[in-house]
Amino acid sequence: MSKLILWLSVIWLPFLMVYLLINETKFKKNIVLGVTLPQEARKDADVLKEIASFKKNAWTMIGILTAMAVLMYFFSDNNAFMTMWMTWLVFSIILPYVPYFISNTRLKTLKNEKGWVQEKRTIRVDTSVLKSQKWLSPWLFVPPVILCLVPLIFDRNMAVLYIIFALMCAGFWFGYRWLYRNKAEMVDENAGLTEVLTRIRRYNWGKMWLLISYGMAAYAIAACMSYRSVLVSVLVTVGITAVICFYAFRLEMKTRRLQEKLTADSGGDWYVDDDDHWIGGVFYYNPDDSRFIINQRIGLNSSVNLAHPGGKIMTVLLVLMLLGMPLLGGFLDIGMTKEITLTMDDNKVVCTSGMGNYSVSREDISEVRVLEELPSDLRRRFGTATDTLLEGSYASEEIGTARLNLDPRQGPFLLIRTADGDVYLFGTRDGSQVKEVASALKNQD
Amino acid sequence: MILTFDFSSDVPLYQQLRNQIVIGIAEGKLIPGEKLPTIRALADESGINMMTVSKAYQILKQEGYIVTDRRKGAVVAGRPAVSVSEETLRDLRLKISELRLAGMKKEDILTMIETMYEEGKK
Repeated sequence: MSKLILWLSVIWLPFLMVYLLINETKFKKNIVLGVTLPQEARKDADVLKEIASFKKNAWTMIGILTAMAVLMYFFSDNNAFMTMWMTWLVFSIILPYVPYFISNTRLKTLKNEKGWVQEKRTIRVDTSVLKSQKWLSPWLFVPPVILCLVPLIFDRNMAVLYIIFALMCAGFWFGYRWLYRNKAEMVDENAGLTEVLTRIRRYNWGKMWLLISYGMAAYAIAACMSYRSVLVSVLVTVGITAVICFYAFRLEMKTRRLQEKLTADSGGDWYVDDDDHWIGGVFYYNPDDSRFIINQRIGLNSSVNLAHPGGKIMTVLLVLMLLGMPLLGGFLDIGMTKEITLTMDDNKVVCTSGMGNYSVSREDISEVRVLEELPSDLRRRFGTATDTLLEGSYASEEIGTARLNLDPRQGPFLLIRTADGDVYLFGTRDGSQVKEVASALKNQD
Repeated sequence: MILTFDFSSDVPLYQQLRNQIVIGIAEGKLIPGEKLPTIRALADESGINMMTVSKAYQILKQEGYIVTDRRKGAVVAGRPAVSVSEETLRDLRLKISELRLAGMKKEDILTMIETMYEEGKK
């Protein structure tokens, strides 16, 4: 089941990536496939040919990635799946950019050959647009923070989760405010157009962050209301994620459509051409720009300036993260399938799995029980939850908040309460050691 | 008003900014009392360091082209600088010499200056 959920949760990724890249074949702000071209280029046969070539290559890439995903699902065992899944995820993020880079390079060459190059290392600033910018009030982010904390009235077991959600909502205001480069969307000398484009971007940028904040509040409320059923909880979480993704995608596409429509007549005598600072049309490298955060030229997103020290650090971290994902998959797989041991060691109960080690001193134990089945309303506060391993902090009506380290498929389970009120629930892969440790603890009483 | 910054030029960026604002005031593109962008907004917009923008504004203030107000920020001065500095006159002498050496006649230079002056009055 986990395998299918993991598979379904990402299979759409290459389609989304390619869809967004194909959308860049429509001229927006005089840019097509990351290259700024004049109005006359929109009907140029060579440009149109390159655009068609990119579309073809992008669809081929989708075919390759989908075939890889199908093979990965049907021809891999559970152990290899996690590593392959993570590797495929990295491929799905990187590979769609290969045809994009190729077409971008070809179009830049074409641009130079046809003399469509604007002045270099020059920027223009329209001072009239800089005076009319206002930020959303931080108070708009307060209701979702409060909504995240409301479940605390009904459910204290998951307090940490609700507080984290509330802090994230508050953090979204900072994201809205500081991950946006305060820059006018100048396309040409038309000040009115610059102002409208800037307002559209800023308005939708604010809307996006508000959407995420209220989505987070919905997560908190849904977690509180649906914890009694794992299935309902999963469905509600997936549903909310789908709604957030759908609206975020819609905002992005709406912004792109307006950018396309409003700049349809641009690209005359003078227009902004920033191509020299965009490597492959994707990475921004501009030593003349002292800013770290920059706005992507198309759509809503922000990016970083690779010439800035912060940008360099962030890029190195991102590359390491991407390269580390397949390794992480392998480590997680090993961690989740490793044998779980439960032993009495130096007057301590020790439970070890691939994801966590727990040790409870004998003298601290006040109650020992053997449960044949796990509580039905068990829910994770934080930690690992897979078909083969539950590790971390969990909560249920029956046992309260407890530390788990067990294989949920195989009972019995050892419940330990300490004099301090801490609760532990341990279980092994075959259930054999549970009864031995339980009887050893009871005999010592 | 559109400001242009040329990063490949030998002229420092703060000087480019100062010069363009002076020309903007002379040509009437910036009128007395008009608010200039804040240092942060202009730095954000252009990618130029805030210190560079601040330096240009300080020079403009010293020269009397702008005034700064705690609430309004930088505003174009109601009365432009009244005195012409020695440096400006030196620059003018240098430019006239360059034009003479380039082969331009006195009448042509005067016509050109007159045209530019009238453009600034519009």
